Amino acid sequence: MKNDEYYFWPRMWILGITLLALAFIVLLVFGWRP
Amino acid sequence: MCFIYALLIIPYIVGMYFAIPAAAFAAGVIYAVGIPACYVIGLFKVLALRPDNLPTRPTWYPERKDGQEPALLGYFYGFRSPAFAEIHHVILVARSRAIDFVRLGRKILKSGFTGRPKARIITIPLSAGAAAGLGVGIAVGAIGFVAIAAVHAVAATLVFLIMAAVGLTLRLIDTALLRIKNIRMVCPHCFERVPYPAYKCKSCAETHKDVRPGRFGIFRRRCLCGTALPTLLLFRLASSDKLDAYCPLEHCKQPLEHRPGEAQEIVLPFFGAADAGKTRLMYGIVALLRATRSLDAELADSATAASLNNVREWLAPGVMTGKTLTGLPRGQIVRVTSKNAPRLLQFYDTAGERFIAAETTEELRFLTKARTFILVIDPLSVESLWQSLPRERQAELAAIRSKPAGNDTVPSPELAYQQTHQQMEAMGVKLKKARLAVVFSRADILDNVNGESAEEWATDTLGLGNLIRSARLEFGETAFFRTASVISDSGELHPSIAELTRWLVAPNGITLPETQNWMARA
Repeated sequence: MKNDEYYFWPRMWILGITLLALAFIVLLVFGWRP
Repeated sequence: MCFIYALLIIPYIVGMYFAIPAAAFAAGVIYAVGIPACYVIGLFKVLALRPDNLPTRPTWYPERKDGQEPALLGYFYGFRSPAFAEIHHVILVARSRAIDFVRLGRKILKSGFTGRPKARIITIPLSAGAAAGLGVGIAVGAIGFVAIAAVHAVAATLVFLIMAAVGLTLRLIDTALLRIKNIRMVCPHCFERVPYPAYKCKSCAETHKDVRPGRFGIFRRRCLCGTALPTLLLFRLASSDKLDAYCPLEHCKQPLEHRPGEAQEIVLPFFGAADAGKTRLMYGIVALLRATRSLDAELADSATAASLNNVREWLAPGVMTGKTLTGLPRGQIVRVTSKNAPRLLQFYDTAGERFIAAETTEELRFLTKARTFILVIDPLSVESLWQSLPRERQAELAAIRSKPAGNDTVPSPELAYQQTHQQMEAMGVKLKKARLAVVFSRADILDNVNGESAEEWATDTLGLGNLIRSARLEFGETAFFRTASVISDSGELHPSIAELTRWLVAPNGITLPETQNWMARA
């Protein structure tokens, strides 16, 4: 059992959450308000 | 000539006036955006793409150590988990890329100062402007780099905290459900309370000492062999076909085949003098439970099945029950399912010789786990009753009367009772909260009691008034029974066993029917 295989989805989760958070921050910086 | 130079310098100055700031701005923007972009590229490389030439991960990257649970580490659990080690890894990869990026810029700028001499009049001012922009860009980019790393770390921390909270909540719910269902697991081998069973993976036979949510997984864990395993009894761990339960205690580690954790466990110890009829009574109770149509009673493990599968044969008229070995007993477990939840009845049949001395009684630690006790007394061992029998009757019954091996003295029921109940108190058993069934065996051969209750008969005929009074005084609830653990020639179990069993299991939600043809089922 390779760790890479086991950690694939957790890595996708943290990647997705981080990118979403960054996109949200960038939008806030550029004046978008939810 | 000077005039021509003067004419040319004006567009040069005007051009530089705009070009130098533009170069500075461009360099600044490129590096202010490029350096954070290096972190994003690092994120993709470490978390998604994982190319073969990925730089080595940090030295503290968590690895499973020998002796730890044979499971893969959970990704998020703890600040020393793979998730946090990979933040460091991303930083290392991204920093290396950012340094290369800055070096490239420096090289380009350097070429502006050292390039073709004729072009230097243009490249030097532009490079100088770009250098200033580069400096600012690197500073801004570094802030962006740190900010993205911080967002990454905050995201990982939030996920970890949520996972930890979910894990803790699940453990609490699991524990609460065990409490609500009144499930307390007891090892039938070492008699200790099992806080949570250990489990052996059926695929690779590796033992997981503690499968509960933690750093090896919240909802499930992955065994080193790749098998996904549930982490809680809440998730049907007990009935999982991927695991076998074991006692987690270091000195025991014996298999718990009876699927602990899914049913309330009821410890029923028999005690009394040697040859009192304890084993036979246990056989009778098991035979009755298995014969009751409204119950589904199954022998819950292979050891129980090996010893109790043919109990009806042992209960046949004229068949003598073998002598119980004086070693520590093993719990015989029967799973009884009625209309309510299933129950696991743990019967402990101990040789009477163990109840003579404190040292051998105190080893019976299952006594501290029981709430209902069964004292078995052979009325024939009571001297007054024996002496009252005619000589011919004594001759007939001498063969079945209690007599310990190698000793001519008939074992005293009072001695066994006093010794055991004192030891139970010494072991911390709260007798006032306990129930005691005092069972007089051999009712089939001593049937004539002239309408007296078992208690009156024991006091008047057997002269066991002291024992009866002591039992009433010491125990929270006491009941007296006269039983015969025999199956008649017609195959019917003596009705006294049903009466006793009904009293024993009633507080645990097992209801025996008032009447039934006990021959109906084998």
